[in-house]
Amino acid sequence: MRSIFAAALVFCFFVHPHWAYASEFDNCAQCHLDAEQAFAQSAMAQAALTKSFLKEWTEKGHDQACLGCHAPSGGQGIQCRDCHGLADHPVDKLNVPGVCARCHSAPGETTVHMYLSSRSFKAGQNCLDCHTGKDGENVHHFMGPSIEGFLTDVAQIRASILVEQGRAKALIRISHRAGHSLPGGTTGRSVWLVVEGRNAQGQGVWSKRVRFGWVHDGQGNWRDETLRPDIQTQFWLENIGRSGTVRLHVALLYQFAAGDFNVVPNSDRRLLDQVAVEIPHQFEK
Amino acid sequence: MKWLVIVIVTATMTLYGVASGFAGQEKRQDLQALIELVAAHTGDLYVLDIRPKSDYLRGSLPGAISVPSDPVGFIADGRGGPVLLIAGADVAPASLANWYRRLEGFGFSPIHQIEGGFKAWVAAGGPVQKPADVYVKPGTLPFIIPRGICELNTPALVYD
Repeated sequence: MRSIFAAALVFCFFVHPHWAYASEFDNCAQCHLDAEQAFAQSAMAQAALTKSFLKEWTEKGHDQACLGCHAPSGGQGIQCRDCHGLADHPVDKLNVPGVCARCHSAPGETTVHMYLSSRSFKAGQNCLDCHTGKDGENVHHFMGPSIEGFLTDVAQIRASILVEQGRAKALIRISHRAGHSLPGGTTGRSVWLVVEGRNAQGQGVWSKRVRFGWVHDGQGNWRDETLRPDIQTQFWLENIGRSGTVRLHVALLYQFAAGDFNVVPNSDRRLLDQVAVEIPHQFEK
Repeated sequence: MKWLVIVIVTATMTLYGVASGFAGQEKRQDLQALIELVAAHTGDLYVLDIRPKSDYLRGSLPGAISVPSDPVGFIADGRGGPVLLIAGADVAPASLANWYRRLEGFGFSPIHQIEGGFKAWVAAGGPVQKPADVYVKPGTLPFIIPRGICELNTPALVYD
């Protein structure tokens, strides 16, 4: 039995050198325990293990191409070598955002592409400035929207009503301070603008929803309808005083899971901002 | 005596108008500072164009909203924040004073105004946009990118 095990070891280390090298790199924690432990808590470390990924991956017949980003070296997700490479020590400082772009710039994912056109890039900020927690030299506490509090104050909505020639219309403006499009990240994420007309009793009498995110046209093409960085998105709504509406309630929500607003449970959404504006009495109908 | 009362009342009203309703005079700012202000803000700055709509359509500041000349027709959400007023050089002082009162009532602060009006803004090299040039109908943005990493296992090229 021992001889079989020894033979297997010999095969691993000499017949298949890559395995030996990979094995060496799997032991980063021996010297970089803090970094390894911090990264293990991140969503990237479990990129191939999430419910949404497993669902879509199964639907696509376990396409190995998906693992090119979700688990390039196998396992549950991204590993040290996937970003740091297999070069000798000391490894070169990572090229950020180039190393991120390998996966974060793809159809349904132009996060880095949009970042390069943003004020954040021009101001010298990079991905790590916002997406890693500060812990001395350890910059492996990767954070994203699924972390509680990460989305706080990231987006703002403003609502106003303009009355012209006896007709009232609402102007809703959305702005955000992400250094890339919102939502960034994967295809399924979306941001929803929900406008509700409420009557004097506070009950909703009509509503309108607008989705921001990536749209797949069913023919292999993706259309970008995300909220661009540094640009205000404006919406005009007409006929806002119908059905006894006295107040507009406007909310902006971040949805993690793919799917329609009515299908995805509320637990998969975070409120980004909400605001209300009163409609003058003379325009209530 | 009657004349004296009339003179005093008139003088008082004029001074009050200058000091309060026309407070915009002291809030007018250096054009270069305003250009930097517009460039720096993305979300919390309201840029309101109170000129006639025909003037607005010929060109205004980026992100400017054309609002009715009567400030009663503008109702805000009460969150306040900075605001920049674009007025014509011939705007009536009373109209301007009404706008200041209206905006202050909704909590807007500070209220900026372009010294010399829109013409001065253009002359100073401030950014100008025609609203029709930047209007995008939702869902029509022609931004379709080819298949890439997910479908063909080929990374999209960021630095091409």
